[in-house]
Amino acid sequence: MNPTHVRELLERAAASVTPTETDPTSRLVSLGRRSVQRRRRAWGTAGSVAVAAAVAAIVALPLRMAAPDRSEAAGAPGTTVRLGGLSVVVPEGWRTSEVTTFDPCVAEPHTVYLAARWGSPRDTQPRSRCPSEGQAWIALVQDAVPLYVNPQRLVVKDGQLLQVTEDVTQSQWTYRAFNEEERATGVFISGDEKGREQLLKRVTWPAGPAAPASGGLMLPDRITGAVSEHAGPMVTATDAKTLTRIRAALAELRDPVPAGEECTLQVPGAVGIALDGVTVVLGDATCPQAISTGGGRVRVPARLGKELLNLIVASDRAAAERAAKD
Amino acid sequence: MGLLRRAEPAGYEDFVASRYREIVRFGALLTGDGRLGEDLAQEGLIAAYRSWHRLGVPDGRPEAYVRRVMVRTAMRARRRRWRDEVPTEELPDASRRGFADQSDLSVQVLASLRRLPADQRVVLVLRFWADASEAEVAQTLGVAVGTVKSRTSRALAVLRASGLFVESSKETP
Repeated sequence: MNPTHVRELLERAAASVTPTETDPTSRLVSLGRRSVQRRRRAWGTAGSVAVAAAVAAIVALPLRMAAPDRSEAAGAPGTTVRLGGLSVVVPEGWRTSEVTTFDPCVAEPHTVYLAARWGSPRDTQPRSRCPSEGQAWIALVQDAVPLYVNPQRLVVKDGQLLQVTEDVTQSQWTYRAFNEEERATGVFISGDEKGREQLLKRVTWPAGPAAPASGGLMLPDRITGAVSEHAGPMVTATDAKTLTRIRAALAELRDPVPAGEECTLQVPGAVGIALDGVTVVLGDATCPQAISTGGGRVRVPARLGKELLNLIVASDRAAAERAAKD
Repeated sequence: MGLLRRAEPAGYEDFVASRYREIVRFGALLTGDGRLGEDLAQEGLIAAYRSWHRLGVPDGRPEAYVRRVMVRTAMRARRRRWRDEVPTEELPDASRRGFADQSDLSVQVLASLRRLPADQRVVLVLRFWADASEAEVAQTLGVAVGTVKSRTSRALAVLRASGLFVESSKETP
């Protein structure tokens, strides 16, 4: 089998599909309008104070979204730029650049970028040959980085849990708050290891959620599904027995980790489990701690993560076998 | 009443009219099912309506946005075990459903896609139908490139085992 044949088969299958709605435009406009109205009502119930705060935040945003192209300015020493609740102290001699779309492949050295969105790497140019490879730059990009179920690395900075990912080029690292926001403002830092560490110190995140007063992990009251990754593919548990065992095991964790004693949760070893509204990551013997995106960091038996993952895998397989029989 | 009603966002209707069929087809591949694919496409298009103020401009790339929403929704559906929720009742007559031109091979391809876990199916479609590189798929899905490779490999192995490719190509091993 070669890729061409796969593509041909997919194209043939796609071409065979004809939409059932021949003129969906007016219905989609109607549904879209209702969707906008629902969101407006939701915002309305959030209260005028919250709305006023949001408006103030938007006004304070240094990024002018309407800017058609880019604007540049030399960064005076100590200048602070902000985007999406994050702030960066511009290094001396660096420039700031506001762009609509940030393309890391053409990033210029010694520049702090503020961008509305991330641009796809050029199709025809492998990332390893990007001119910006290895250069020192930093970019804040709105809604740029998805939440991972099982993040490569989790560190604590400014009281905020950060999801850290090494790019394929290895000179660029990506940081975002590890919370339940589906796509968060991302901080992309390029350079050598020492340079990246120095730049990261210049970034400030808002503090994350406080630990529950109980001293444990913040967990949903009711769990309807647990998702993790096992050897690549996602696995899901939805049966009540497995979910009850998972929740009970997590609820028993009551030994909080004092500030300053946090270790870095990372793969392989750490196990991430997405529950309803929160994600819990459990470390192995290299970092026997567990966190919840809802708040809380506790000590954990080193094998618990794998045990819970095995429960989910078993549940997933059983469900797949039932589906196959049906 | 009319005074309060806002004008529809410029360009949205034209976009839907011109791209609907292709977007539904993308959805059909992401789900392995024409009907679910159309639902997925409509979900993406409604999201685009909400964001049309920034999509309906030059360089707004609305179709890329719609596809991103569809991919994310398809992956979330995996969490909800959507693959188990594919309707199993007897299908209505094909000509009345509108999926009139489904050859046996196309039906088999869609059925094979349906048997794949959603994460493998999405990777396969992005890599081979949308022509995305492994790095781009990894970026889109928020997974490591190695994960993209392994999901692709597993998906191809399943399709190979289905015998589908013997029929479609003489060069297939």
